[in-house]
Amino acid sequence: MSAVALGHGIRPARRRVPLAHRVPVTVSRISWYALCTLLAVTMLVPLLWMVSIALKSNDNILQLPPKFFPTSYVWSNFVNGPAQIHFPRLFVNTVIITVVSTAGAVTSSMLAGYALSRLEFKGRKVFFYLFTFAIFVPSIVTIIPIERLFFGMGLINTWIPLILPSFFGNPLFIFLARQFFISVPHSIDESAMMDGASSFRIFRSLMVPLTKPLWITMAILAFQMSWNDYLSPLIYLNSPGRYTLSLGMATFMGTLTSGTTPQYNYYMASNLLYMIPPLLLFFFAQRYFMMGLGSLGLTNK
Amino acid sequence: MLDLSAPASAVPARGEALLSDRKAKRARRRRQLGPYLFILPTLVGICVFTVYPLISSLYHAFTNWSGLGAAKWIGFGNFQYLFTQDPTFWPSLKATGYFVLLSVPASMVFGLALAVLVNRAFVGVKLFRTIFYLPVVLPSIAVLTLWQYIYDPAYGLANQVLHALGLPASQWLNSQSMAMPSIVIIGVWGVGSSMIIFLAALQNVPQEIYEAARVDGSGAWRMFRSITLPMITPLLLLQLILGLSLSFQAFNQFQVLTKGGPNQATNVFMYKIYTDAFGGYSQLGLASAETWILFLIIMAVTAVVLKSSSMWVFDDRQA
Amino acid sequence: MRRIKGVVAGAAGALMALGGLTACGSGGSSAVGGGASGGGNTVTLVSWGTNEQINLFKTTLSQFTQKTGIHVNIIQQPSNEYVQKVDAEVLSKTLPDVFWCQNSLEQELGSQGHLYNWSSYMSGKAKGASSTGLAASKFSAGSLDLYRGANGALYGVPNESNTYGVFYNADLFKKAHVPLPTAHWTWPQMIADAKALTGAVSAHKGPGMQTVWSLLESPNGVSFYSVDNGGKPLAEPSSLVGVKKVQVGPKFMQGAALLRNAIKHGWITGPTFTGNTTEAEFINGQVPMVFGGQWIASDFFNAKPKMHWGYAPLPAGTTAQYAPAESNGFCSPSNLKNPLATWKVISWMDAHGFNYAYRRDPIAPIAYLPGSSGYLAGVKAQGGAAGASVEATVRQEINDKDALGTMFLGSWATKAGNTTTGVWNPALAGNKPLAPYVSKWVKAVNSFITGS
Repeated sequence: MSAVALGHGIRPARRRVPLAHRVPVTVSRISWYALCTLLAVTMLVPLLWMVSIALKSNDNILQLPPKFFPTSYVWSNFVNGPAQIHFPRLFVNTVIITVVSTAGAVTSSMLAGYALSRLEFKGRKVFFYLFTFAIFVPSIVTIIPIERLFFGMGLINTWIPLILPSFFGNPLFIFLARQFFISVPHSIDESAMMDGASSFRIFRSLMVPLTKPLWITMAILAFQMSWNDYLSPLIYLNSPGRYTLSLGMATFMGTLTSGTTPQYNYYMASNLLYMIPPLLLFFFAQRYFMMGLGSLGLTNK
Repeated sequence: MLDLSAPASAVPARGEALLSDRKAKRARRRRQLGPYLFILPTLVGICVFTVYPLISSLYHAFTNWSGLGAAKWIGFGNFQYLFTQDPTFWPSLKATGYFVLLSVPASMVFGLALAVLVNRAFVGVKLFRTIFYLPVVLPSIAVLTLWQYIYDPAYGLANQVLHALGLPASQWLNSQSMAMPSIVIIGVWGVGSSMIIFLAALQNVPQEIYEAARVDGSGAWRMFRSITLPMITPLLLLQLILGLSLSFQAFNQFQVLTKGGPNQATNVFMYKIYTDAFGGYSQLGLASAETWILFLIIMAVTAVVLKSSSMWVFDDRQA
Repeated sequence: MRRIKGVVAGAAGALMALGGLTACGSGGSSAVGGGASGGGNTVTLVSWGTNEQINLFKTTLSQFTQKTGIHVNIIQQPSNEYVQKVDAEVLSKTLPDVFWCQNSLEQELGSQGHLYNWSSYMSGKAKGASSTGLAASKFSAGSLDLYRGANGALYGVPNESNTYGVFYNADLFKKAHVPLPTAHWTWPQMIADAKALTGAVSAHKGPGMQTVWSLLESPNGVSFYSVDNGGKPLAEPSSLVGVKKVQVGPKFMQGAALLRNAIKHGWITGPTFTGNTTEAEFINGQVPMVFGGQWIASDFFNAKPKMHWGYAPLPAGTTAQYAPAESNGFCSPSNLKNPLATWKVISWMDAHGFNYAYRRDPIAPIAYLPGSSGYLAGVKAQGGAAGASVEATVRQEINDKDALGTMFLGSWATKAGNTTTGVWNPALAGNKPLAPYVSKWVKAVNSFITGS
């Protein structure tokens, strides 16, 4: 019953108008852009700094205060730095190992994730808890026992120990898969099963195309993990011809107790090149990646 | 002699009945076994790459194993050393607790805040989202080296910013009080992946609820507090559990930037495990005992969080 | 989609096979192992040096090959997580013929029987050994003992040695009217200089001396003060191998108190100072004194600072001036197939190789004294008073007949280290009373020694 209806001269009750309606849209928009730009700059500065160090000459590196702009632009660092560690060879090695590992991780995790979320079988819940509990195990515990395993099988100085484990499932990916599969309607499974399709058939022909964001996300994450892996290549590879890029990068970092500061300019230059593949992968598959990671946020059980 | 007068759908001969029965049984068995084949690789993987090392390290926790060669059983010797004789054990747990208490809420709050910020349909928002995610993709060694220079007390960017704001300079990583917060700030800077996850959760909240609230005159903050937050609590739970597990195992930034100093202010447990394992004389038996302690702590904290979740996590099935 | 997966799977299989094949056939990158690869005439050498150093080693080793016909395959391994890598090689029995090793790793592996015993070669008794001329007497004081295990076995041959001292900014000294450090300056003089130069830099008014290496304020560092002033060392023997107990006497406590006082007054940085950016600040003339090892000098030479600087040795006491005995070493696996050839490589490196390499890229002097001439010449050639100063200090320390080890070398060292962090450091930093905490430290470490 508004006060206006009651009579004349009585002031109507004031309604609290929220801020969003009072402030003109343009001002809030401008301040939004300003804030985002400020944050974007803080995110980008380290990347730009890497480039600036990569372009510096040898005697400029340890300069204080660190000058953002090098006194002379040594573009040849991008050639000489990587050349020191035989970049092309290591690049090929790393690509091979990473691509195969990624394929293995995605395949095994998709299979398991599908089964755990769509197929009815005994102990399903137990297996799921068992698999995801592995996320909490600190990895330092696994290094030496697994070393002994592989060495006992004679697998030293080959890429097999780097690639093989990924074919045996990844707990984080399986968790991600289960979350994502929730958003796929069960009606699809049911109608396919009524047509007599086996679960593998359903998986291969229906589920995989439908869950594109999921396995693209897995692929991006698996790629990053394998591309940046340092410890496994270090432990299992003895010949420099078989090294990966992560090992090559580490050789820039100088020696142990009696050593010099690393050659930061060569290091950053090589690092920028090293970063490009995962960055490109993320950039092009961004939309799917955000959908895939975003599935973790879906709540309708 | 075939009886052609009999209808086709007559009762099949006895031989045929057995054949189709066997086929059906095989098909049923395939259906029952099928799922197990799907999870077989992962099952093998978990047993070999997770359970076996876990058990092996549990055994070695009770020995004085150096990592190579024989392990001598010493019972609870390692644990006795840690709990009563090691002056770095309790400070290490304290530093770890401090780190977890700072970094987990910080990354959740900032991740959510960033997600809210980029949850608009403005032009260029996609570009901003990519840029905010960028720190996650950068290689950590390079990033940490840069932050070392940012935190340089004499010339680093951080103190220059403080100076510009009229605030006194800080010693950052060299100061006992500021070392841990400095490292937490680096984590906040890299909060991009949390942002993405929160963003999707935010976009998953049905718009109708917001519309109804807006009609009632609710302000943005009120809507956030009463609608958004409750609706995303399942995700908050997930982020909390994963975030806790990851932060208990954080190690890289401590190894590169502070090496546990100054005066154990940043001597987090994972770093202690690492130096006990591989610094100087290898002490893998001791490190195994420490790893199991860490593992149990993580499990205990996770269990507590899960137990409490029924109180604050909104389950829309009950709505 | 199906097709893509099939292609990927097929490619995966093909690539794995290809990877295996190309790895076998790739020239110049033969697998590491047991020395059997070249039929006894190839020696595999693993180093953690930088790319530049490795190239220099390659050049000098090619001269070696010309002389002896023994081919050396030098492989570079990253230094990050080196211990894990060596452990993995021990487990998989693929240790290279000879590899760079830190002292603690060598002692640990040696005591477990994984390393080759070079005693008979070092003493010249083994067949063919004397021809190489690597004489035990020409090693710097105490360095060979660092690599001896129980019953005198020699599990490693020392190579790069470290010296410790104080880098000083001569310009800041002059401005503060403080005489420059000399070759035999004393501990009290060092502390007094630090005091005089505290606050000398207007930009930040910081301590006179920054410590980038923990030795000075560690128990082993204070041990130097003790023996320099006629007291007893912290532990015996001086190599710190096979220590039975630690003990502190009045001279030791005097040294600890001296340092503690300096730290408390802010003249020197404390035991847990991280020193991440000290080098850069020194180069820019912002730090009067820096305690560190000689290897930092190569960074300074590379950066070509605009100021005058020098390097002073560890100070002297009333009765002596001890120098540190600290060294990396060459180690070989116990199942070494071609010991004589490997010994020849080691001898060449120590006697000639480093002379060549470090003449051009001076990193560290060599425990085998004739092998240091290259480094010393290289340092001097860096020019100026700074080069001469570093050369003189290093020369003095490596030729010093009085030497003391710098780190504990026993399986109890890890626990002792934790106790140093938790008990010793707070005492020296002034946060806890000195005498009770030092005796607490002594008691704890002794219990670890007896319990190991």
